[in-house]
Amino acid sequence: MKSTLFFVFLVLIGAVSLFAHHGTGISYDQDAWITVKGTVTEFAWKNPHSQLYLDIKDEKGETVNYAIELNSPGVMTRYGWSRRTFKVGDMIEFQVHPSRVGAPVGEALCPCKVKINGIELKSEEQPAQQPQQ
Amino acid sequence: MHNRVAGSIAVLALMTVFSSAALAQRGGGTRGAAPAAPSVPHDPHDLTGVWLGGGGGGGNRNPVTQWLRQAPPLTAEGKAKMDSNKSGKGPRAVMPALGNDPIGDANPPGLMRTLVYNRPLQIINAGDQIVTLFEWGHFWRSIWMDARKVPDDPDPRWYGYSVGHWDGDTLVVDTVGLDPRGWLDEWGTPFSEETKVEERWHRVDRDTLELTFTLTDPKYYSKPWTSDTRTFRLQGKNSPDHELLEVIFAPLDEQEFNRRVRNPAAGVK
Repeated sequence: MKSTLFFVFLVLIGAVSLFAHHGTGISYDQDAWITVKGTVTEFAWKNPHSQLYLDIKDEKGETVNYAIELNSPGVMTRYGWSRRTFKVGDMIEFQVHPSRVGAPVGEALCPCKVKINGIELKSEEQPAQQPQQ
Repeated sequence: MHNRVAGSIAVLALMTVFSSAALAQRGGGTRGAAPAAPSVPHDPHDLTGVWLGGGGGGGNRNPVTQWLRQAPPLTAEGKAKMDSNKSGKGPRAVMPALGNDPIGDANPPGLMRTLVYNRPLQIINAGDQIVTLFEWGHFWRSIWMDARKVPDDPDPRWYGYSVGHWDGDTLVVDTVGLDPRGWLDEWGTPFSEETKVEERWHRVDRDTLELTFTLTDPKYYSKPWTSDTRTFRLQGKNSPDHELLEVIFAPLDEQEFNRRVRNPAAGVK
């Protein structure tokens, strides 16, 4: 796989510096955000971290199933999210950190920047202390 | 009348002193916490409530362990053990799929690691024991308060065997038998089967609980060392953390997560 540009709908939107010791994210490029766009195929509201699966189109126009690692249900609940936040068939735009090895996997821990069917999803709660996940 | 006025002035003076002390205690010790309110009456020997850690120990920028701003006095054997613990977090982090973190296979985090993790815990007075419920992993620990001794030859337990007593307003807890397959923190800091821990819990004011511990483990550390102070805040009814959630790491879920996310993210088939 040549690069994350493999996905035509992935748009590099900028670099962000985070703690060098940030969470589980070392498998992901924490200096980059990309936006993935696609249709929800599955929302796994489970520990240790929730997962959102999208069908997206690659540069050849072929469908690829992309996994987004989210935070745990416990943390996301405190942001006002629930197991019903995403439904199969929803059109999603999600900013994520891409996998370092170019796999169709990204990471987005709350607070997240996401649109569902064109409408931005608000994170209702801002916990005083966010777990280091 | 004169006495009432004098008494009121004395009370106000005491409130000012205690409020200032409370503010000083909190200064820089917590992040994202609400501004300190004047301390209100509480029983310092009653730790009942839901508490959320986040201040003090647990620093993301510590050099070796989350518990300490300095490097702990590792022995050569301790250093070797630490090097063999491959965490997905901290200054020695590797991609989780390439590491050997026990909780990556849904094993329990164990007592000390749970205490440094920022999830709610609930303390309950239960007669001859103080029980702590941990949201993270859905585990609990008992601190026996009936003057018994810790066992001389304890079985290994992920959450140890703990006996407590009050030293003034400080709850002193002696723990032995911690299963050394666990880690002291998220970063893979080790402890051996010889470990003894003395925790000291102090309720500074109604809303603030502080923990330090001294760890004695001659196998992995050349001398006992004492953690930085970790601060816990009481979670009121309106806090999103007031109600402990069911956070269970079921092997069924963990295995699926590894197969579909953790492993492919690191290029592991």
